[in-house]
Amino acid sequence: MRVIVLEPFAGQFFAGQTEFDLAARNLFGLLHALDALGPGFADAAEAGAAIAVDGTMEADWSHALATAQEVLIVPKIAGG
Amino acid sequence: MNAPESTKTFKLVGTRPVRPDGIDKVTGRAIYGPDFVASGMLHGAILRSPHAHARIVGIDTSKAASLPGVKAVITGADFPEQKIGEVAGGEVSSSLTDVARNCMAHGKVLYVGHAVAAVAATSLEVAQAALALIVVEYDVLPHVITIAEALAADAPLLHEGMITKGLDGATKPSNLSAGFTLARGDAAAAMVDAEVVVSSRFTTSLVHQGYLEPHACVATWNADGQAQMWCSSQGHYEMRGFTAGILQMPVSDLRVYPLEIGGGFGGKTTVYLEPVTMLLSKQSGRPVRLAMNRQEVFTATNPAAASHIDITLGARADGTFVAMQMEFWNQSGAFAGNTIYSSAATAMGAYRVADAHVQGWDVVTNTPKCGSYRAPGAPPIAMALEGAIDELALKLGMDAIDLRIKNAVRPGDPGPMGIPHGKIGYVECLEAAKAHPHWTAPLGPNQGRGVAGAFWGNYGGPSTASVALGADGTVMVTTGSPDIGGSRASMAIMAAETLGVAYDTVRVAIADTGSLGYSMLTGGSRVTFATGKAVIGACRKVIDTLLERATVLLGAEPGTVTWADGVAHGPNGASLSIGAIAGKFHQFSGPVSAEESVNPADFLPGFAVHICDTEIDPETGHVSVTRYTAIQDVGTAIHPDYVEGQMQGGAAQGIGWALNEAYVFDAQGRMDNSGFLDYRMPVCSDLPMIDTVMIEVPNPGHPYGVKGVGEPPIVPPLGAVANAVSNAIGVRMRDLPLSPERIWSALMAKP
Repeated sequence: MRVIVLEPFAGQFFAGQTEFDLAARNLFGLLHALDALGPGFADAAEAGAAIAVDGTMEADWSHALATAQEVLIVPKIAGG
Repeated sequence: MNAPESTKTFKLVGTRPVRPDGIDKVTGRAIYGPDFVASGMLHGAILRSPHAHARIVGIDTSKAASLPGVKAVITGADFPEQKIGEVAGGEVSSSLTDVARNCMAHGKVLYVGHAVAAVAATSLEVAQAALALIVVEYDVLPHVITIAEALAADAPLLHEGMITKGLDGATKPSNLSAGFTLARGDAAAAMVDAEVVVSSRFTTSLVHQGYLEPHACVATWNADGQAQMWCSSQGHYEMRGFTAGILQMPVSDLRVYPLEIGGGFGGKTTVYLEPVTMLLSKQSGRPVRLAMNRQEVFTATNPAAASHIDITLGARADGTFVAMQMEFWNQSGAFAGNTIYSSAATAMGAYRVADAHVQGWDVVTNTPKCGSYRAPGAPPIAMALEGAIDELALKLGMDAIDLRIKNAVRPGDPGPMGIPHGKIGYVECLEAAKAHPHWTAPLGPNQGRGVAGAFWGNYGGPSTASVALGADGTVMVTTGSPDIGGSRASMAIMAAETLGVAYDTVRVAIADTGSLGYSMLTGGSRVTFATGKAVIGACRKVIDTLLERATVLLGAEPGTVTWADGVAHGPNGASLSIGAIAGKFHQFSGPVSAEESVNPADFLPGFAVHICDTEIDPETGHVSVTRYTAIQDVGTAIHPDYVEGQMQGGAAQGIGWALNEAYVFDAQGRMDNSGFLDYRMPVCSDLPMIDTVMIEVPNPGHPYGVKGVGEPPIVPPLGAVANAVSNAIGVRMRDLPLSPERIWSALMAKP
């Protein structure tokens, strides 16, 4: 599964690397895997990341990723 | 106006019933933040920094504490040391340390108005007298007020250890807190092939939301550790979360009661007074009230960021955009901000540009911490983009709307983060603008017309709602969403539509944090969408219960009873009204009620197009807005009056931002215009009637097609007004506000 991580997370936790090839059962598992590569990422993502799976925003991180091709992790955007 | 795909018909959705909270608000009976009184309440006051940047060497509160009538005195040292970093707060994360230190300085003051101590006393006069007895020794430091000052090589640092997030290889501390890049393709290479290129710098100033109700809070923290707060905010669950987090107390020990809110626009999404009030109450053992005056609102709450935006836009000779390069700097004030992400998204959201590179920077300065203001980070970026498009149209000799239609995003096109746009209606908005009589109406002398479009991402987020039936079948809806833009009415309409009952049999209450599960704040244009989904879901559960009970009462077989128009219909024409079923709760397992929690992500962005006419007084440079039309893809308008009100309000605020509003600082970093006389917001007599055109392209992700409508209408006005003024005087205006002296100077400099 292709995983794309945008800034500021890429620079802050992965030395600028933005693309990963990882497998996980769900988004919690994926964040756990990414946290192993960039310690502290999971907490930062829980506080401030939005995630899209195959082009659709996903709010429930427990959904299975069995058929997912691409996960995009971006910073949440503030509203007023 | 309905788009072709709006085929659903509703009984109540789309109607304009009387607002349920109207009488209390117009008669003054509604209780706003500063109105609330608790028995035995003390009055608090806050001592604020006179310096823009200084180390606190020492604070002597002994004389203040000994003044008769003073019951509590606190400083930053009374705040617990913060142990955790980023926490979710609303749509984005916040540093709890920064939030706490913005409530009360500790070690350093970072702007004029930064709180350094607080007092609670038996009267406000005694509290204010006590403030004068507090001695603060400062070591005054050099300060930076503007983006340029903060970025200078020898600039003093606000936060000595701040390393730029999102900048690879950054090791040296600076006032750049973060960088963010959004890119697709190769913008630099594509720009070389562009046949027409425009390149400009646009600037905007710090502006305030200008809500009428100042911040206020009453708190009581009991000796057993349990506490209550009464405050007006955009999200009392956020007030609870921030306050409990800062004070390191269990969330369940703090109960927050929402009061009516007199305007927020993003400015009431975080805490300022609440933790301070709590600490004063804990120390005094009494309820305490803190309330800001207008000067404090301007100098100690969160204005919207100022921005510098460099944009280069390239197109083919036929008008097709081929490349965009943008770099912008958002001023976040005393602590790191978070608007660069939405700013970058705004740059990439509205138009097809195959090759684009957008780089944003967040800059800290010795000014009040910037924060959310209605579509945070979007209006300045849209002004730059829409200004560049107008410059391009001029060079190409194309109609300004035709050029936008040619390049506008359609459903399925990639959105700013690469996620495909869903069922959006930007082209429909642009076509409606082109067809509107305003676009072709004749202009008089010294008049000019401008147009600008807008993208805003909107949001979903968590909400909880409950629906309960009275014994007579009337309906109580309870949500955790403060009513800022008419959500009582929109929730009542959606509940009544779903249940099939009359609008005025539904009443909506806003629960305190102890009475209902979490709802995210009222912001991000999310409430009608997300909380509406929770209400509809709870109503559907209620219908399920009513059908189960009706089946028993009618002696019918399971599955043979249906629900329509508030009535259960069984076999052979038998039926039971909602009241007939609900009233039997003593004979069933309990009253009829249901709760629903949601966290929907199938929200869709909003798009808008505004047309503005301006007339310039060539002798003074004064600008009058003579005609204004706001067009917006609103999804489905649940209560069109409120939707039109949002469109008009956003336009009015944006016109003020464009023409008059700006924080003005003196050489010491003090705000020179911290009152409504000098900080010139538009009033009714400054504005024409703002015409509205609602384009309904429903969101398939919502049962009634809702899209967020509150924020998109403030995104286009800056660009629309600037384009209109530029066309009126024949000089491209790129710096806001478009004050008379700027216009006059531009006219005088004309060849």
